[in-house]
Amino acid sequence: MLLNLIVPRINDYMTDAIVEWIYPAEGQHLDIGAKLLDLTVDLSAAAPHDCPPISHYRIVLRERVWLRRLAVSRGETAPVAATLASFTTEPDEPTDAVSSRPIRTATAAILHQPAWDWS
Amino acid sequence: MRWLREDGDHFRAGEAFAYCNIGLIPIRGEPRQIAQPFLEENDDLQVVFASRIAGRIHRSEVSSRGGFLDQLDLFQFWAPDFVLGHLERAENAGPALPGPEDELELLMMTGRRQAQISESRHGLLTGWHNRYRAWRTRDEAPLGSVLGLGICEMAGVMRGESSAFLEMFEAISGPAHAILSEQEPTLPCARILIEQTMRTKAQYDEIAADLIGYFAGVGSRVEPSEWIFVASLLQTLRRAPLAETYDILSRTSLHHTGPADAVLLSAHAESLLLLRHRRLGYAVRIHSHRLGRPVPNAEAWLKENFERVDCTLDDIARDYRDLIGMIRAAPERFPRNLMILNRMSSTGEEDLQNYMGFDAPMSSALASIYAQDLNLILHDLAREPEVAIVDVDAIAADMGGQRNMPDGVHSSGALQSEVLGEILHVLRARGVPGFGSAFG
Repeated sequence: MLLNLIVPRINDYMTDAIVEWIYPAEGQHLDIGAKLLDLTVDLSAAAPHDCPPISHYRIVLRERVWLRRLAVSRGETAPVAATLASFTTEPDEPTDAVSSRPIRTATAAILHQPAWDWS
Repeated sequence: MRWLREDGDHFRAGEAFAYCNIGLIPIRGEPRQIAQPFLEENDDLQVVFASRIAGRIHRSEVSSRGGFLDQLDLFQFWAPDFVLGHLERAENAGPALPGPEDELELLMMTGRRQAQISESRHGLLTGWHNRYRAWRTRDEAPLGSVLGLGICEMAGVMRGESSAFLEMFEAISGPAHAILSEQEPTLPCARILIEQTMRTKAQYDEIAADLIGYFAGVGSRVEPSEWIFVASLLQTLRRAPLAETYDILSRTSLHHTGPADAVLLSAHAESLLLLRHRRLGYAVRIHSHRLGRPVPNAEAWLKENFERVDCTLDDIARDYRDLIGMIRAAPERFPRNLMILNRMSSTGEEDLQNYMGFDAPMSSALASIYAQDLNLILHDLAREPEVAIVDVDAIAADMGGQRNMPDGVHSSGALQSEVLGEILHVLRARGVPGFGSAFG
């Protein structure tokens, strides 16, 4: 079965999200609870803003799948409902069909870790 | 004189309707109560007028001349019999504020400019200040005071929609004094407040020499706006807001007072990331959005000179207890009541059934768990007699977090009003005078 992951509308006011981190690699088998992506939602993204309303989220898996294709890369901004990745329930299923349903995931707000290199 | 209401407008008892900037000149031959009153605050000293009864305002045609003649305190002497206009008492006016009905309520306010050059006289408490305060006195009655030391979310609560404390003072009977101290670009967390208070002049001089020397070495590549960042940082490193004292002007006197009776902190000022200077050992916490593109040299200075300290919630709890210990060791120097705004711990945006994707400890990864654990720490601290929680978490959940605090920090006007009400309730419960309801 082909499943897809799209940018969820986590916040009513968001229009897009920044892909901060991608955890798995294409072809990898993923178990329930596996980390998929970290997203940043910046509600002031239209223009620089004092004290910007920025939130950070992690999407984790709720079912066992194989990651077949990543549609985004780290640092990319993707609009709400854009495809992030495609998965299959078997390792060698064809991926050129229409996806059957969205993949089951859970989303949680996470603490921001500044990407400063202090080494 | 600048009017806040149009001629013929109705107003509530205690509602501000006009204000002016004032200046002080010494009376020849009289000894000065204070050598230099309102040092650093005299440029923006203002008085707001309100009636003790509800009614309708009729403005005098000569009360306001417009332009700079109204904005500067140079063109008219304060005369007790100067007629601003006249007030028409409303039918069924309702309760009046205490005191003679034909005498106006005077709410004084001022701000300490970030720099003398940061002038902006276009309104009430307008301009860039690192400390804002307002007070209302009543004869010789004790003046209760509260000092706010938080991030942006506290400014909206204390200063209100008017940004001039008008909502707070319309709700209380006074006499009372409210102070809001800004600490940008640093966060007023417990550790920073302790270090500010304990820092000696020699230590500050060494910090300043190090910081200024670095930027002087960068030379002309430093953007002019980065020097403002540097100056603001030096301001906060030099000050000790918990121990500050204040000049108070009333109808009959000029005197000095302080420290505040209560200090209001924000749990949002605490984070798990602390930066500590490698050589000089002092700490800073700065919002990440204050760094980066706008101040590249400041970010470079931090990276070269500071080490990252990943704190735990136990570290934050210890910082709060150290702060309580510092206050107890010298109670005459610091506010005796410590109030803390907690954090909203849920957003309604999460959809989480499995925690396997998050590394332990959960409080280091998940914002909701961090907020809940931090709020629990505050509950433990509230067992100490000095400490009280202002439960923003419960208030926001009751009113609807998504609608009133969609990003978990910035709140709606309605939520700010409710939080202000809770702050006043806590102040009254802890016996801080002046914050009782305006009409008893």
